[in-house]
Amino acid sequence: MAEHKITFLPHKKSGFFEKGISIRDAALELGILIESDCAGIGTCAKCKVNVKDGVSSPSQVEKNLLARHELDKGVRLSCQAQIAGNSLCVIPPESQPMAGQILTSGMVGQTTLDPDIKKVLLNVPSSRLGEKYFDFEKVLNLLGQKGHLIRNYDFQIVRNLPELRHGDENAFTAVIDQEELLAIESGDTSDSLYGVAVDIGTTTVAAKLLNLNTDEVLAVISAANPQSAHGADVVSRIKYIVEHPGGLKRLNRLIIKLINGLLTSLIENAGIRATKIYKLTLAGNTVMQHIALNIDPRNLAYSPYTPVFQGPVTLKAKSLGIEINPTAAVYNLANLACFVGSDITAVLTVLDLDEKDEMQLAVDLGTNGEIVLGNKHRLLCCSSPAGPAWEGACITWGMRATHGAIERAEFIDGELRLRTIGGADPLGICGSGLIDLIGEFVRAGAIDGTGRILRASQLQGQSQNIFKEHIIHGKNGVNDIAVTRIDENRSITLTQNDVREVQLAKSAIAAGIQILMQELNVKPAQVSNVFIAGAFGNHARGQDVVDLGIIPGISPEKIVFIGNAALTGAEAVLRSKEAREKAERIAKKIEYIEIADRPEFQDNFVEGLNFAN
Amino acid sequence: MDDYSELQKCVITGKKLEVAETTSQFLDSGKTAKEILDGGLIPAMAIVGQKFEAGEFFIPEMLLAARALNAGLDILKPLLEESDVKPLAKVVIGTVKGDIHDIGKNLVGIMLRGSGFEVIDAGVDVSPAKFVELANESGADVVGLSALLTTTMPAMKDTIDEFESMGLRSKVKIMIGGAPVTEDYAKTIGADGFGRNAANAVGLAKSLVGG
Repeated sequence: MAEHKITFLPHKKSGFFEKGISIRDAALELGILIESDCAGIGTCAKCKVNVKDGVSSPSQVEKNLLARHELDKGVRLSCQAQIAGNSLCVIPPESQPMAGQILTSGMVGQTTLDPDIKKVLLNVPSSRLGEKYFDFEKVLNLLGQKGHLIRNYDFQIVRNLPELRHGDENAFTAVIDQEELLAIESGDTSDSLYGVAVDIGTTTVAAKLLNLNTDEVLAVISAANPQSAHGADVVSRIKYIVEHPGGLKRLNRLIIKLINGLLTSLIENAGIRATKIYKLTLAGNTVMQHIALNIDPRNLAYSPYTPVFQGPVTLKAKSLGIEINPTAAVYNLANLACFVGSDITAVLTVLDLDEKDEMQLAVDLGTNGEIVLGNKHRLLCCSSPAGPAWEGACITWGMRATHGAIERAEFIDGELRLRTIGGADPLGICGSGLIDLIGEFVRAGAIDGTGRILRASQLQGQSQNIFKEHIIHGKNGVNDIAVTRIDENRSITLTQNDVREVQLAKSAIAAGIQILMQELNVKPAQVSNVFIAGAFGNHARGQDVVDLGIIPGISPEKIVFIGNAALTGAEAVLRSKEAREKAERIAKKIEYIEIADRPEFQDNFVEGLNFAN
Repeated sequence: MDDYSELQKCVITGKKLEVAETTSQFLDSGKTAKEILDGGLIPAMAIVGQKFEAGEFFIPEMLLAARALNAGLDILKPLLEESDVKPLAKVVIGTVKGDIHDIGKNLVGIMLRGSGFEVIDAGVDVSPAKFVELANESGADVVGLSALLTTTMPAMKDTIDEFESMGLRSKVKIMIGGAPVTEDYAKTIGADGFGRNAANAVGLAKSLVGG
């Protein structure tokens, strides 16, 4: 069998592979991720690599998607190019998924610290000869006296008990979570109680380590979801599972591996041991959660779109392969509906939509836009297929909200000022930068109400001088917008088709909101607050949301951006029994509205495609 | 009165009332329905298709143009039938089983109608058996399958297989389209063609029926 060596740079990793394996698959085998939005079906052209020798000749797909000068220089799509001999492959920075900016700001639940997870110090003297109590029952009895009723425990705790008594030591620490006894530790360990909150997003996974005695955040981290190598959106991931034997196991392993990697960083940062973590709370969209718990999510992708379970569910860390204390409780927040996951349950936990008389709106701008509207009497949710534009996919120069992404754009004194994440040289445009840019050009009339980018000569008045230098000729007679130059040959542009993608995304959200408003018979003016969550950038402006018509008929001062509120919600549930109970109440109370099969959805969608002015 | 440019402009800019009015005027002046169709409405929709493909026009403009087109077609249709003018071909279109998205499919329908095809719209979530039934009873020349989700794409293959097993595969040309669909996928499942977008689907349908 002919085996060929391939070496990846800048990773300096090599491996031997059979002829015919794609570069992308070979990289993944070696633990190297290459950017991809389309799960390797050859439509996104984001997985560009540089490789000259030892690979198959360019496929038709590559000839269609790559420019002649790229092909001449050895640029290839890693999902298409197959190994044919020994080769050296360079993965350019733009094709390497990077750890995301830490999207951790958001509303903080102001509940007092009162976690479900507790440590209870017990004094358990050795039994005297002839005494009727046994050690373990003595522990249960003592816990009962302190008001902790135990209904569940793993029998392994009993097996471990004899080894725990050292000499005359009578002090033991019981670790309990709700009504379950998780562990008994020798001596007084009540001064260390740690927990971790995790939010599994389709593109970004974030985690936070808390000291649950002192209510301190010890460390925070986020990274790109490595499942992205098998598709940018949840539907592509399901497709991967359906089409590849062992696909579920593979995606499950990727996410568990990543969570363990994040945990390692967190505990090293905080200087504690993993075994001291007894609780982990997990939020995520329905598909991500199914995969993390090793449940086949395929039913979620076909009408009538049925999730396998709603939850909440508590599982042992060891049963999931999560490397904290093996007996630790992993609490999975409840899902609300097929495409309205426990991430939204978490978001609602830190808001008060379910408590007030007034109408409030919460929107998570992701690939699936999730929308909640209501008050304490009635709470409705729906999911709208916005597409990945908010997260930068399918936009020519789009990227996630990571280092180098343009997150803010504003004309000041006749000049387009850009701000990038981390203050770095611009690499592309993330969601907030995208709506900011379009907002500026729409307000100036350089993009008309139908979304058409006008010719420089069509611009009128003041805007002409300021904006015309940014208007350039695009393909097929349309106009594009030149945002900024990145080197001699290349400029970051916003093309006519990019504007069209944003129109599709924003109209899907607007149409979903309209249906919930109709259902509750609420006018935009009656909505007192609008909360916008999501990884699409934390620096968006309310005015853009209004001018683009993302949320129809609302005034900008009502709009509050709450960042990654899903992680904040998972954290609230970790910190507080009250928040956990609130999350469970919301999951029971909320009603799901299926909008895709409503005729008015398509009407609203088409009407909402234009910009507000 | 031979100049159709004003009528074309009214279709392109979506002026429904003007299209109806101008169409009637052409009929009054002695033009046949076929002449007005070929000289005014069809070229206008071809321009709409080009503008859409380039990104200059978007879905709302296309739907407005379609409404205007229909205002003209409604007047011409009975006359075309009377004078026994045949459509370019008959096309059954629908969104495949498990998928309920239909905006893309509707745009394809608009462009086909505006290019002289007779279109039978099967709707959404259409089973393979339903496609076969409709194609069979209408005597369709072309069947167009749409899917918006990568997960419902396999239903396209199921539909083609159904035509095969009913012994009707050779009677129809099958074209497929939708956001996640690719040329390669069309080849893999044995479709006769792949349409990149609504405008592109017209050229494809024409080539499939040898027009």
